[in-house]
Amino acid sequence: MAAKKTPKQADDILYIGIDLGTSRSAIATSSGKKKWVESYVGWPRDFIARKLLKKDILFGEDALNNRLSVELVRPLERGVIRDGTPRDLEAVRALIHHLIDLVGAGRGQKIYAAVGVPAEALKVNKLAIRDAVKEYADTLMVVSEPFAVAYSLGALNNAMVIDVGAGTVDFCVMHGTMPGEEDQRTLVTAGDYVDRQLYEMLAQRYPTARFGETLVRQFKESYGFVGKANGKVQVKVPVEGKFTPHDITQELKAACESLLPPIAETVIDLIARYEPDFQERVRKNLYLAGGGSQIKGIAEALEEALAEYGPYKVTTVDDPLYAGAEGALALAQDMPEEYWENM
Amino acid sequence: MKLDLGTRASRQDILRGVYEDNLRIVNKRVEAARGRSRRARWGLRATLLLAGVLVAAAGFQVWQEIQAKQPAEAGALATLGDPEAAAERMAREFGSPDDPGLAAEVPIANLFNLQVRTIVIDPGHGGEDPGALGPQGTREKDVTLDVARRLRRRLERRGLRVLMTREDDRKVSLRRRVAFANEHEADLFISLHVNALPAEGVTSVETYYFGLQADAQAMHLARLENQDSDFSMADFRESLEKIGDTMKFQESKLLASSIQRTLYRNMRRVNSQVSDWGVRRGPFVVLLGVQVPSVLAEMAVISNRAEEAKLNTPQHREHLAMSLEAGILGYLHPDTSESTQRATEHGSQKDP
Repeated sequence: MAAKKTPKQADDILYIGIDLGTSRSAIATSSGKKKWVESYVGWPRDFIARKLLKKDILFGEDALNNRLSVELVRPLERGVIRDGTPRDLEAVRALIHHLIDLVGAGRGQKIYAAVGVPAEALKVNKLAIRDAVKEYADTLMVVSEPFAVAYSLGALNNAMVIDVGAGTVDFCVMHGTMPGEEDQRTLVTAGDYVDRQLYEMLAQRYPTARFGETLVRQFKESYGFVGKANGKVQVKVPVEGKFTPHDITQELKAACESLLPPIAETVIDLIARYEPDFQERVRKNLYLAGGGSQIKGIAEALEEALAEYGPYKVTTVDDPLYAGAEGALALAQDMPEEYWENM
Repeated sequence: MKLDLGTRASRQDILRGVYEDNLRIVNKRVEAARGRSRRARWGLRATLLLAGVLVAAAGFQVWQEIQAKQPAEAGALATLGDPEAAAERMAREFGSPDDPGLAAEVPIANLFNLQVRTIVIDPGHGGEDPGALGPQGTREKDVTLDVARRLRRRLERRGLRVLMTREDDRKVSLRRRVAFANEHEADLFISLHVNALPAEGVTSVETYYFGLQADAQAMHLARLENQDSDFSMADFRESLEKIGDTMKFQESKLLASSIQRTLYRNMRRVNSQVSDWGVRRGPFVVLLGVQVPSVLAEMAVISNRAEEAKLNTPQHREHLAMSLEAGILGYLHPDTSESTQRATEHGSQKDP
């Protein structure tokens, strides 16, 4: 796959690939380390919380678990810095710093970073991401997330990558050259949208039960499915203080399936722009990545939804959590030195 | 997982593409990739410059003739002459400003390496003039002021001097707004508005620059936005004399195109039903009097109930500000902005 750098370069320079996701962010390095973290940052609300938590800042699951004691920020929305407020920017910087700390960048090593951003991220979004990363990296580039996934797969031609994230679903058609704006698309009906749908349906069916946002997301991640159900999905949720079992099978199925129509529609719309013979080849090479690709049965259901337009072959990538970060890393490692120097 | 591997050549092309894309993001020129020699570029610049000067001179002469023939009537600007005939004559004799052969595709600021230092943002309406009202009572004047403040914050972070024609909820006449921009030596002028439409459920984005050759809808909107302008007919005549400055209109059109493109693209991301009504000309006096490139953006439709609800959220207002910022940056750095490389899917140029 990627042409590796010489050992000397590998010692001097640490290449890193980062996938900054709305829900989870991942990092992979040329030294072989990989880490991920929930994209949450929390600052203790007051000195009591600080004393209790013994930290000035919390990240990921730690921040989420202590959400009542911290000012919790999820700084990335739809894959880009949410409001551009100083707090959001500070949270993104802290998150990136935390990721780089997790992989333990060695002293004296230069850091060359490639960072994945949503396919249709605007220039200002990319600049904001660059601003947030640049103080921790000696040089950096931003790349479209689905393109990074395609690169990691080696799917550079006759393929389409669909990265189903929490904030966005990103599409990228690969035709042997650098994908342009017209080859990429972003939808905002993604994982968070499914969570909202599920929350509303459950709140309507079980008005006395306490379904929180975090709980609903956990249900989706643990039991999410489309198509035929393999038995009931029962979860325990507090009702007037007592944990009570609730059947959420139909709601979970309906919420997860709400992803399919916009994805199918976008696939058809994107593919229709190309020559018929190219369309034919791309149909056999659709790849699903991102957390949403872990919804049970989603690849088969998408094939079914697309069936009326011809036979499609949809494959789920092996390691969706790290596919974006590893793709960005592969790009970083393959990038000629003179390109890095000029950044 | 190994799949359909590209050739070595295509991989190198792709890496180069990523590199060039990043250069554009940080506003560095991609000299080697341009495929255009330095001499050719200077030739193009010289041609554009010559064309611009010719068009400006021609425009000035024609408008002087038109003025001499027109009675000074009070009322809407459109009654000051037959703009279509004038434009046709101008096009026949000197080439239309919209003729791709003459129109400068590069902002003059870039052509002469001029710096844009001061941007004046004009939040529409204010004080006793609420502007358009939403079904739930949201007032245009509040939305425009908040988006203007957010846009100012964003642009200031880029080192630009940003001034606003009103800082709070007060009435400012159009004449005062124009004077403010001119007194403070604005380099660009952006007037912010939201629209109200009779048809329920319609939502759209459109951006205007000054032009007499407007369609009926633009004329109607201009009449609404021109109310209480505090301008006299003499002021109109004086301003019209300056209309020979075709450069300003070309620049305004480029700025409007860039803003429309980014506004529409971003609004489409949050509402697939939004319509691209494109870049249009309209006889807005606030655009006529300002001596620099100036546009009026109708960012949203407040009469649409769903749109009104969104306009009441800080996230959506920030999104609008971000889109406007991207449009302004796209105008200032056309060589390096991806937002100005291609037209929107539905097309942004809808000049009459």
